[in-house]
Amino acid sequence: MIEAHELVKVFPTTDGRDKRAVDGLSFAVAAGEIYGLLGPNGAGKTTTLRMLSGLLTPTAGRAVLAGHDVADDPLAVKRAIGFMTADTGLYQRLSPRELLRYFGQLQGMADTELTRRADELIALLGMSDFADTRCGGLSTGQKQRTSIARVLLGDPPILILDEPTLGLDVLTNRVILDFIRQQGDRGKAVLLSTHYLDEAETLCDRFGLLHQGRLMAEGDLDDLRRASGEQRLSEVFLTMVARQQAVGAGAGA
Amino acid sequence: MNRMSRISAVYCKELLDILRDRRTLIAMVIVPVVLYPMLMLLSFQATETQIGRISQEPYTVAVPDEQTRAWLLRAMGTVGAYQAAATQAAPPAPPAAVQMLSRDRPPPPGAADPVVVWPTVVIDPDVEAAVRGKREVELTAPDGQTTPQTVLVGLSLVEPADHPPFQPRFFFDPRNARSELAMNRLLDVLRRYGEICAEQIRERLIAQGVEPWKLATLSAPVSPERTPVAQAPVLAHIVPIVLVLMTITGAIYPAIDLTAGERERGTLQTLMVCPVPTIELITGKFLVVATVALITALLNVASLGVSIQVSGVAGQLGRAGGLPSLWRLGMVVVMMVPFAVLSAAMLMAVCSFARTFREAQNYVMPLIIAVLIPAMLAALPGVVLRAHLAVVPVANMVLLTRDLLMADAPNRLAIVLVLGSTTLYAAAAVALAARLFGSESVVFTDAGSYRALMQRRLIKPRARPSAAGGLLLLAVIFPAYFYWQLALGGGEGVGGSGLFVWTAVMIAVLFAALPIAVCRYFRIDLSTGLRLAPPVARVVVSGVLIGSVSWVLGHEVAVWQLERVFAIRPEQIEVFARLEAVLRAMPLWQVLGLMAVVPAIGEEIFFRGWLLGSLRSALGKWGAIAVVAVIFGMFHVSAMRLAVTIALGAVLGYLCWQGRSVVPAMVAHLLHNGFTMLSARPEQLPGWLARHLPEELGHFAWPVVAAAAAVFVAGLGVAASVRRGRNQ
Repeated sequence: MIEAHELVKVFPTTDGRDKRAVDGLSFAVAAGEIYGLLGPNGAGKTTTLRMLSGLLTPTAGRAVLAGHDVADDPLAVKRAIGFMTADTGLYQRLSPRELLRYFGQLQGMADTELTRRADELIALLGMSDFADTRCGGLSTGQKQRTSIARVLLGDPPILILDEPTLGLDVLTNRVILDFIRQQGDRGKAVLLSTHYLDEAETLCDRFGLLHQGRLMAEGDLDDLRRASGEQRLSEVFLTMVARQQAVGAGAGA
Repeated sequence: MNRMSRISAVYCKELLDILRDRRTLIAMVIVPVVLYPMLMLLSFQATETQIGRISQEPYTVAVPDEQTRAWLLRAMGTVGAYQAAATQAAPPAPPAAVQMLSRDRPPPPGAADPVVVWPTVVIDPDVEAAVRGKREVELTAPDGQTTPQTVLVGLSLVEPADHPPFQPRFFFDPRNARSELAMNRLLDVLRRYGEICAEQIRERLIAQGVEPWKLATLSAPVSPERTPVAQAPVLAHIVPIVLVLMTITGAIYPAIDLTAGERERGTLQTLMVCPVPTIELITGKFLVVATVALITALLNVASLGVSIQVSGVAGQLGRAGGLPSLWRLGMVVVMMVPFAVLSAAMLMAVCSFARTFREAQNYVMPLIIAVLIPAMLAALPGVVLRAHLAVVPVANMVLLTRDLLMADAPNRLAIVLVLGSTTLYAAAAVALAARLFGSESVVFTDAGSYRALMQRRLIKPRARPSAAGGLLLLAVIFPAYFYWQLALGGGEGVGGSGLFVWTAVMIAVLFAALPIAVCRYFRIDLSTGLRLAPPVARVVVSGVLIGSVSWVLGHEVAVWQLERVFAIRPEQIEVFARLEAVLRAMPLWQVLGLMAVVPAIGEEIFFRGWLLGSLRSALGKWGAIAVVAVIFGMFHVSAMRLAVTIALGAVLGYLCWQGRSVVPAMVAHLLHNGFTMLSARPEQLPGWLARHLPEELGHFAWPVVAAAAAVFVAGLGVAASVRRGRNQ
């Protein structure tokens, strides 16, 4: 469903030196799979996800989602994905129902279909109590449900979630994790980035460990345990990073 | 779901969103509807109080001599109205509040015999120097003295038979309420005294046996002419600036909220992952801002009109004509449409640059100042809406609004220029806003700097300019071209063939060198970007066919227009004749080079290469050809040639499109201009050809026209026979 081939993104900086945020990244996510892109801050997770969703243009490389090349047909790609982040803002002065209506229209949904689908999601996510309250007055949990409803509106086959649980409380966190699991079970390709490794350990089917724009390791939990000799994912990650730095230092010396 | 319904979805949502915001409502509705009349009433009351205060004060009138002083005092005594007030008001200034500045002077000639009293005037620079700074009213000579140097009240006591009554001109400072009030009082005294004297004389003369009907003129009161100091009504100066400011003010908040605000609140990312092209998002948002700007302008016009009417300020403000008619106000509103569009577009472009609300506010301030300066300049008295001001953004709108509010009907060409240039600037600003709004470095704070937009090494090579780029270059070239032409002054500024040489240089620089340089810098491929490519051979043939006959058809249309639509003005004929004489004096190769080769190459590179290429993706084939043709017509600022140039522009655009190159269009353009030039020199043509040429403003023989039309259509047919290729 998602294929990244040798993705590179270079940002120009004010001091003239270019910053290679993503440096030759390749991976694939199949339908029904939850893929966790893990790494510390600045590893290039967000940049990767933005390139895959057509928000950023890759400097080099190719990304194909649901059969469409992002560079050739960004609109088709955007139609096939649901994109969400923890800090996704909502329009303060619209109610969740109005918000769903707006994004449904932008996705080109027909009026009757849109109404039906919005009602369905409002019932499914338990949003009836606040569906007509303006988003400015909602709690964080209610806002996150609204965001989930927005993502699910067009029933996209691919979900791209950038740090979806960043800064959320335990309850809201649970809402999000349950939702992600359900979507994986329903056969969607889910790509999520996080640096909460414990959370990822129980949630994801496969992992890509990202460090300085490159993939250090990839595979399911067993693969990573075998490769690193550690049990917990966080331990795996630390070992891998240490090894990487040793290699780097060795190359540098 | 098509483009329009997506734009309308964005429009409806954003309008709802912004109207639910109290801050928008305050700027848009509350300020004009409530604050406005209140401010006006307050300032009116303040003025009233001020006037009341001033009216209690003594005032000073400059007079030349003791005789005049004595007369004025006597006049006041006779009239009686101001005496008491004056003495009460200024006890220290004897003998009255009317302070007389006297000087020893002999009485004016003929003033010895005091029979009839009419005020007259003496001119004395010395006295003026003495009283400068003290006087509040000046009187000046009614005739022969055009420069108001010194103006003092004098008396000429002469018989009206020798000196007919005159209308003295009073000089006072119209900006100074004290001065005006003093003058009004003086006039009142003079008028009443004149009436009393006239009645006395009348009675005396009747007693002497003069027939009453011969004395009619004597009863004419003194009604001095107003000072000729430029006095355009205050209303006309205030309203345009207020409108311009208010229109922008209303649009500021939504413009920021819909761009930088959306980014700051984190909703922009969500919006950008929707399957909607950026241009549609920004168009919808831009339309909302323009709508709010327009509603604000409308409410302001309405509120201003109502509060002027209700508060009775009309008399105060509109000294000359009072309130403009409803029709004029309606016209002002219509004129505000493109201005609201321009304001919205400029604000959107500026705010699209910003990543936060605060940043956007910082960007808006310089813009407001940049708008205010031309607005204020245009509001200065005596500034006239002429050609060179008609293309200055904002200033042209202020002037046009002023002219509409005043009695003088604005020049039609000026209206077209104002509307056309404003629309052009607005389109460029919208395109720029779209380009900035969608750019990575603006959407994501962490995605590098703005320099990425301009740094050459970071610019990806591209096939053709974007619509934004196309319009931006147009927005730069249009005024440059306009001013260059103006500087040449239609042949008056530059003598002889210099005009044509400089015009050719301008065309080469602006239309050829500039687009090529821009393409090189921004890594735009010249063969696709400017269509500087090998053409489809068949279309070159088509260009030859069309160019060989189009001048005949163009001539026919022009002559027909002259006969049926416009009358040519004599001074235009004179200008044409002079230019033609210069052309005839030049060698043929020079004329053809300057008037055919250079325009054919330069104009085709810019209009059919750059502009058509940049607009093709946004407007499609026919839309782009039509828009470029109209712009091409606008550049040849001439109402007479407008129809012909637009039609020619469309044909050239079509040739370029079909031939996938500017070459066929260049060929046709070259031949068209070349033949037009040659037709003015029949003596240099072979006899058989010269024989068919018409008289200067006459028609070709109908077979010639028919043949030309046939060849023209054949040329179009050849071009049309080219199938859509892979490049199209």
